[in-house]
Amino acid sequence: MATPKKLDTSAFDKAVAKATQALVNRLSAEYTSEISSNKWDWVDGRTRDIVDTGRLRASQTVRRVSDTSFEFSWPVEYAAEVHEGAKLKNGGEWPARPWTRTALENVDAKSYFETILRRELSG
Amino acid sequence: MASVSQIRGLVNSAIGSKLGNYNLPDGSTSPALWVRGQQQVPKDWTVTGIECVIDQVPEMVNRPTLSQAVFIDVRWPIYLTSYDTAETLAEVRELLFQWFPDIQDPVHVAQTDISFETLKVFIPDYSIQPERS
Repeated sequence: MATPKKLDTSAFDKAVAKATQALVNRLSAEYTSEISSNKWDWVDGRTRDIVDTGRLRASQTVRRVSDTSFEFSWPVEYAAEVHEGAKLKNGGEWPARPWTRTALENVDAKSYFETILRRELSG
Repeated sequence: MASVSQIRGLVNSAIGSKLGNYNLPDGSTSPALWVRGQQQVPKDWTVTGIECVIDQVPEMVNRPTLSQAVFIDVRWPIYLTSYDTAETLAEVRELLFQWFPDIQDPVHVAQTDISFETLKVFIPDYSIQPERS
């Protein structure tokens, strides 16, 4: 009877972790770029970036949940209002400026991850 | 694919009784349920209670198949705002979730000192376009 052999997946796991980290770095740069981009419609009819004090942009935080799971957050109290837009109590309105969505549209995450993974696996 | 009138009808059945009113300049009122597209809510109308706005044109994403047919994922954005600072959107949210169990990407933002409480959800709709000969 053949002796069962345990498959060594350590090289693959290592490559996946490296590709994930590379993608996280790429997305991190893209989120910051989108916040800084002078592309967002504003209430005066012009376009502008999403930077007033810089707190939102500087608050960008990445939490490593596991080798293959990372969580981005912007822990300032007005982040959701900026991202989703808001109806203001003074009668005004902020348009939605969904920088996370546009960043994910700009980056082909699947392709980027695959490219890095193939490179890591091929040595 | 449903029409926006059908979506409006469904949403009205689900949460119509919980919505507030638009107050028109002539003193009359109208249920605060609006389809936004060709016409915005007139500037001289005010809102009391909870307002629901539906985009006239839904979001669409097509997904190719192995054949020449395509799936088209249609999503109707629904925006709710509570202009009554004492009334939360929690009950309306639960009703929507019960009526539309496949509701997607809810974003519920609490009121702050400067802004009202809002809730955005997407009601999915599906369409299959057969192969063209």
